[in-house]
Amino acid sequence: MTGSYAGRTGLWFALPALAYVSIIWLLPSVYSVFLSFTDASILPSRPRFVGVRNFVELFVNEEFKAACLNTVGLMAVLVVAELVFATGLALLLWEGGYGARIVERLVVLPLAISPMVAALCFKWLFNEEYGPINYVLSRIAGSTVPWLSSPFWARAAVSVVAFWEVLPLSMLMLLAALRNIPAHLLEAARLDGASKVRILGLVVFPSILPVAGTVAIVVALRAISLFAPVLAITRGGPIFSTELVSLFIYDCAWHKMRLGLACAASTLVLAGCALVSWGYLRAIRGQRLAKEAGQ
Amino acid sequence: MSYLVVDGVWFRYGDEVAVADFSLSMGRGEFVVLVGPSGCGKTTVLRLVAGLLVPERGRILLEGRSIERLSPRARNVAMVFQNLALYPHLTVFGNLAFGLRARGESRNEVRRKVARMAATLGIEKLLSRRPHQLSGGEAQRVALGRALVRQPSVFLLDEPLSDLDPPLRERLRAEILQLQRKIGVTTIYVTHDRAEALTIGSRIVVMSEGRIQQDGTAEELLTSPANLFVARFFWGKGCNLIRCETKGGRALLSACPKIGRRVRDLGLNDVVIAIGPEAVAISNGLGGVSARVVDTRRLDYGHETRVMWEDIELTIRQSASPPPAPPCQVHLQFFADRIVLFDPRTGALIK
Repeated sequence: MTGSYAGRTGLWFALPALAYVSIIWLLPSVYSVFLSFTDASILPSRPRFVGVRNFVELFVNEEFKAACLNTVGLMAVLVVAELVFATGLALLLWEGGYGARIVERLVVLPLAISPMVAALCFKWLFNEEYGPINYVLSRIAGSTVPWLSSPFWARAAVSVVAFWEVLPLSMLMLLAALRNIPAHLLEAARLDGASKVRILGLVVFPSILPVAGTVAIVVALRAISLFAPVLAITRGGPIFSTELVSLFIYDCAWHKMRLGLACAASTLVLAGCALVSWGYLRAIRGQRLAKEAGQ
Repeated sequence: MSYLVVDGVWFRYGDEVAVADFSLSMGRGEFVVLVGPSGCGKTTVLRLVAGLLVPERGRILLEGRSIERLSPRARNVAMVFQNLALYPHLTVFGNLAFGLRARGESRNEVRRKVARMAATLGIEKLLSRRPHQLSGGEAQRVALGRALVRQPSVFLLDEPLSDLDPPLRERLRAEILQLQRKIGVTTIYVTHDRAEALTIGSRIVVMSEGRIQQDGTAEELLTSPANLFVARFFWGKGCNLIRCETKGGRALLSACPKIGRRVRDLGLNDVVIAIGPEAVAISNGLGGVSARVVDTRRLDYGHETRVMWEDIELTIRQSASPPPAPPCQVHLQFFADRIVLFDPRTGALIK
């Protein structure tokens, strides 16, 4: 029975990776799902089983609702903004000559900065009284912006920071996709007499569409996991206008000491993410199957 | 009057000279094959004519109008790329219509022209397919259609058949020629395959290291190659070169008194004697000289025999008669009229 022998050998090779995934990711996830049905606290007490009480509480909790809506809103804004600006920037760098190489290297710098450090810098930049942004605005426009005291501007500030953080990654992915377009395709379009706009619409954009889909997913997941800027800059305020699920979970666990409730919220987020990923994978598989069927 | 004139064109990639002083003049509707080893600059010439590259020096004239600085769009030149470069996200119809739509032709006009082109190429049934759903030959026809549907002034083909298997390649080669004659479009066909060049080209331009080596008919290239490069390129292994100062050379001169006289009359110290595939044969009867067979090799048609005669090795191609089985002796017959001489210093043909 070589087959089962080979299978067992394969298992040994996969074991380190399986162990790693289990310890770092799978076990905590399962444990967290388990905890969401208890009244666990971070204090040393024995958790008691409470059924779906945590979930019921979440459904009527205004703070959690606001956090979910804010997270979805941030996700939408971020995905659209990233796709538009990252594509634009990637196109500029792709077309550009010598200067583009230098800009390309500078633009990835945010990736090398710790999110918390960046968030603290932005906190100072957005400061309403002595922040550089308002200083410049007061000099140029003669008025300042209530970055942290108005719900709208606070959301804008958080969005800008999140946007700034993911931009390099989105842009690099799209730039790589652009550079992967076969040169002959673009030359053929030029010989066919197509204008720049036509080449973009009929050759370039369709070619980078799959990568744009991946960028959208990465950005959306980033919106769900966004934490440092809201913690450091707005702390969810004013009046929950920048409260995100990540911050809500953090507060539940570490300030309200209600680990069970926090785990229930995480479980819901996990389910949401799984649903989105599943839909995306299905769409991709559908496309691939259609392609194969055609061949 | 010349329709397309390339006049003294130079092009460099960095320090590397890709095309040096290239000149070519073509009549309307003429078909020229540009042939040479890879890296000889033939594709660069095509890209210069297409407008994808701008020449450093020299001029390109279309109907007497200078076009070397015009954009590809303004030249109305069409090109079939080696890897075809069909637009993967458009249907076959979309691919054919691309150039027409880009030029702002009306919807009806686009539909009419695409339909006519598709009928000419026999691809009507494929119009709603996408490129990845096409076979190699079908994709090739679509690429031809996309290039020709907008009635280009000049039609360029960059090794369009090199990715296909031989039977299909031969069929499409014939189709391209037929199509070209029917439409009467001025065409430059680039290939690295000497057999393909000889098959399709009524006029063949041979390039090496960015320069034209010879411009002539297949007959001219085979019987009087302008220099050693052309002789080696077209004769292949059947190109036997002998210096007349060697022992073998002297033996050859005494075996072929006609050549001996020619060499003496030239008054040169040294001459390269080139015996092409058509200048020597294994004769059945007696006469000629006797040589020892080293080995034989089958070709797709006939065979190739290596023989030793005096101290020179000759490769002889034969089509019909059965190959001699080594080791044995054969008689060689030289055809003095077809033996050509080259200057060993310049490599040029001595007329």
